[in-house]
Amino acid sequence: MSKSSTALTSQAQAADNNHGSAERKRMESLLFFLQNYTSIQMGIGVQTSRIIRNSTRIAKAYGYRLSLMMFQRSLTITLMPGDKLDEKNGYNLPPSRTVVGRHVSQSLNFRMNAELSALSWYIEAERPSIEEAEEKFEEIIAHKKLHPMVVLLLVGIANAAFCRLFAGDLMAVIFCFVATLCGFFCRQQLQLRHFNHLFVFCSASFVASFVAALLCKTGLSLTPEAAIGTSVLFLIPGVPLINSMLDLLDGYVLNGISRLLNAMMLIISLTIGVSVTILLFHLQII
Amino acid sequence: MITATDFLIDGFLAAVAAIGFAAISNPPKKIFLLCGFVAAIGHSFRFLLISTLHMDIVVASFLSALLIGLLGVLFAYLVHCPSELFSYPALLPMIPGRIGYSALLGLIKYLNAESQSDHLYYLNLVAYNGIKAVLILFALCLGLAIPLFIFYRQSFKMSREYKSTSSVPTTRDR
Repeated sequence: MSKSSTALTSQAQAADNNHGSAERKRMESLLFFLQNYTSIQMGIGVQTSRIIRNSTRIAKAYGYRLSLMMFQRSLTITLMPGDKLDEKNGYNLPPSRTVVGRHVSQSLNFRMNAELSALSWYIEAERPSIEEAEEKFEEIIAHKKLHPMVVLLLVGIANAAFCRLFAGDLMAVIFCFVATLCGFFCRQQLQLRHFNHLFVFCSASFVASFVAALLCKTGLSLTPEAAIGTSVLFLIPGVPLINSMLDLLDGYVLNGISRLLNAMMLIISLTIGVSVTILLFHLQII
Repeated sequence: MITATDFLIDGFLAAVAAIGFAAISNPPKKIFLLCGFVAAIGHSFRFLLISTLHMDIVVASFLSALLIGLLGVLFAYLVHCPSELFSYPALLPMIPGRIGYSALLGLIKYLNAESQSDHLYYLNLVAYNGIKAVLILFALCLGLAIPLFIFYRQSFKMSREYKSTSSVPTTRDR
């Protein structure tokens, strides 16, 4: 008795849910797309309110509601059938779907920030299929970054300009430029080899300040403290600090605090690197 | 005495610094010069406030961040990018990095100090630099956030036409 009745119910369910299962598949693929979309944005340094706005916009465009819980390392997304589907499909509604995932680690990226936002507007306006949206997403992800050597040179010049802002003389500016090149090159190489990021910051700041201090030993610069003090400023995590404060102001306190603490950890490891140099050379910087 | 050339030089150096530090975060190439321009205006405005009006650095940072935020929203409207792309690099030269880490360096000095007067001196330095860094950072972000709140709807819409997808209809109101 039990066997036949279960067979019957399953058949009836299959007929009933024919539409439902297709719907469920669509929902799942959208959910995985949204998971990638959201976690990448967390990594590249988008403020939380914008991430939630973008993701909600995409879900809405496909007729769903979205709940998002974001942490520094992981996220939870729940996709629920939207109000429009409610009227259309009545009892055949698929249940809500949830995914819990880890963030992909990413480096800061302004260009992706702009293009991922634009993608959400594009999806809202044009309503492409989910596959098409995924294709566009992959295209944005695959885009090439600036050449590392160009970045190295630009950062060196920037830090040299910064040294001038802190009233360093010409030789101090040159020393700072060279020190920054060494420090940032060290950071790039260590990051390529996937070292722990705190260790990377620590050693890069040590290399930069050590080179600056060594060059200042020649006595050519009258403002050695400007050269040594600014040589590590390229490591200050400015964008995470701004993001954390904006999150706090937006009311995403937990995200704001975790971003702030992450940035503070980086600054602390930077300080450790500098203090090793200071102890080695018996400097009086502050 | 402070002359107009000083402001120009200050602005130029800030622009160079902003572009270089932004390059770490891989910005789109078309906004390089613009974000340097915003940074130059913001930083020399702060320089102006501090040197001529003798304003406190925290208040001056707040006001120039306000200016940067407004310019960011304006350029976002003109170039169709999110306004962060202009305002973040422009804020980077003003982030109190030097002050922040010298507060932490002071902590190490404090631990190694020998006499009590040295202890007090370094503790005072830590507190002063730490409070200053936090306040400047908060002032910068508050200044940046106010234009974003005022132009709330626009600022999130700006990114819509980035990449100029020509046939985007603009009927939706959110």
